[in-house]
Amino acid sequence: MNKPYTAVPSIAGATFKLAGAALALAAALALHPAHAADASNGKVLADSHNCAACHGPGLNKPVSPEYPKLAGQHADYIYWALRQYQMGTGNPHLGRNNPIMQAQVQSLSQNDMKDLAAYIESLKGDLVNKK
Amino acid sequence: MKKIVGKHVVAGAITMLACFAVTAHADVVGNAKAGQDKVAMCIGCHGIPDYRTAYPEVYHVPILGGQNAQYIMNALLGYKKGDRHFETMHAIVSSLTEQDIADIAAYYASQTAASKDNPNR
Repeated sequence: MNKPYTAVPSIAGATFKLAGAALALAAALALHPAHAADASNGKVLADSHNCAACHGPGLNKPVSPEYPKLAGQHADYIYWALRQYQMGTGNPHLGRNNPIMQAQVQSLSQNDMKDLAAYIESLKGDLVNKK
Repeated sequence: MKKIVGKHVVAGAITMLACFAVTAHADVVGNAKAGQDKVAMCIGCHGIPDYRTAYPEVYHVPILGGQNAQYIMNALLGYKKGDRHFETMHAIVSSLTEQDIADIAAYYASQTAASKDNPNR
């Protein structure tokens, strides 16, 4: 009749471990949530990095035809382009080499770039998807 | 008065410099109408709303309609040269002449919300 007695604490122990694991998982998820892009923070970043100085008012009227219109461009494409500028010449297979943009994006985190991209996509501009 | 004259001189000099910069690249002039017949390969991806790449990263291919022609030209030349990295674009641009690139850039730059879809598609 010893068995059920010892079984109780072992079950309790297992439950405890499970609860601990669940808690650890929950904590891990809370620390690394899928980042929901914040367009309002994107606007703050766009202003502080003075994107409009080159890409123009509303990021839709670049000061030189060599610079792209950004307003309304796909957020995931912008995010990838920003990441490519951040890689720069350090990644000869993926990076984009542009001294101005490389300097602009150095201080940005991945979440910053997602926020910027969401802000840019939210703007209305000249870009149209036609065949 | 001196100030105004000075401004005009500076403006004139800038205009002259700008003209020089333009003529330096003006050997190839894009023709949007000619570009219409040259974008068959572009439409397959850029003409499909929501079309996404698969590798090395998944993202919507960029919207081209209404974009600055000079920017599109530089991007295409970058893919051709290998400064920009995307295998499909590199392969496609490798088959294009500088005139083709200029025409395609002019075609996309001329698109507006009122533009009709390509009749050749």
